[in-house]
Amino acid sequence: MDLDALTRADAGEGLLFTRSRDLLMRGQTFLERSLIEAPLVSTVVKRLVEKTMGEVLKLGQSASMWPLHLGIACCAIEMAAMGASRFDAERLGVLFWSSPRQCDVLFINGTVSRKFAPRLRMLYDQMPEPKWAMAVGNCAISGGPFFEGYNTVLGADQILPVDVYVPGCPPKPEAMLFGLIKLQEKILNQKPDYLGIGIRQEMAHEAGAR
Amino acid sequence: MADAILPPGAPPVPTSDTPPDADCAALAGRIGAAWAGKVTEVAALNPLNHGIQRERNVLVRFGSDHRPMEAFWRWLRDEEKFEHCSLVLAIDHLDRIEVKHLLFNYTTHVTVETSADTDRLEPSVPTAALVWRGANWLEREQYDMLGVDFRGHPDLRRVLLPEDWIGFPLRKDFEYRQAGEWW
Repeated sequence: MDLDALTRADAGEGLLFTRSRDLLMRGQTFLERSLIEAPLVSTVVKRLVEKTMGEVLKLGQSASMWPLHLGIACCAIEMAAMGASRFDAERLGVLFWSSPRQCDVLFINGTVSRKFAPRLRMLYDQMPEPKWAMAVGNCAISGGPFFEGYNTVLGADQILPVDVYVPGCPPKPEAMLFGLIKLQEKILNQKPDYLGIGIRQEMAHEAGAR
Repeated sequence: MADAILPPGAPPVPTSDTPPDADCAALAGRIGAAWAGKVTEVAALNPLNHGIQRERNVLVRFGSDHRPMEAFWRWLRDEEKFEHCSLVLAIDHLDRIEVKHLLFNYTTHVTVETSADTDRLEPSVPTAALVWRGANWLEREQYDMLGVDFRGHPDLRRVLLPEDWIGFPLRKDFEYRQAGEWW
């Protein structure tokens, strides 16, 4: 394995998490290339799992999205209303969980400040694959009313890949539920990705691995 | 008395003709008697009528001579029983920075605000954190936002912004994102 990405990370990008993430990416892509991308075995295994287990796994994933119980700002109040009995997000299989290690969905419901951004990225990195992120509210989409603030990250997609955007200031609980339903559709319509390999390869590509 | 900086078209600062009540006037008199010559101005402010609770404020202005400030604070705490430092303010007046400490007495509900002017390039005032422990983080916040150096502060670090932040964002001449966009 060549060390281009590592040296680039050493030389330029000064973020805390860049180097560790690149290391992880290098290891994962190396493993995947040697194990899964091997000819014959890969096609047979992939097709087998795709035909037998893919749809079932997707159905299970879409019916048990566990978001991280993380409240940043006022959209978190609406998120609480969404989870409470009137709107009852739990009928979609949404169970708020307090540890990122068991979570599938990251709700980003508030302004991401420049101090909070590395912490948010760390939470996202701690979630296991497959994982999705929802930017809820104008702050998490583009900075919102704090666009010209000195401390505002202009959208959560500056620091992590976001799947669903729910606009509003704050969005209604129905809007968040609609975003969750859209996320379910996305999960059901994606290619069978039982190990989350595609996502990781995409991210490795973004990080400049290959 | 310095005017506040207002943008054009802003509504005027509300004023009041109500005379201050007896507690405030008596306290202002005591401060004026005990600290004559060391403070530049002592005034019991006319309370604004909020309809809920009337303000009882006494303004003590020190100007740019900060030497009697700590002794005054200790006197205020020990003799006048002002137990609480409720707020620390710093105001950028473009030619100077004004630092205010709001001190509160739970018995009489009188607030004393001490005001000190300091240089804008190297702002520095004595700390109240050794007199009231609660002033510690309040002064750290003002250091964070306006770069006021509180002399003798036990732990003057940034409290809200990231540790590697450059510049002081609540100064009037701070250009936002001057610290550099790093993503």
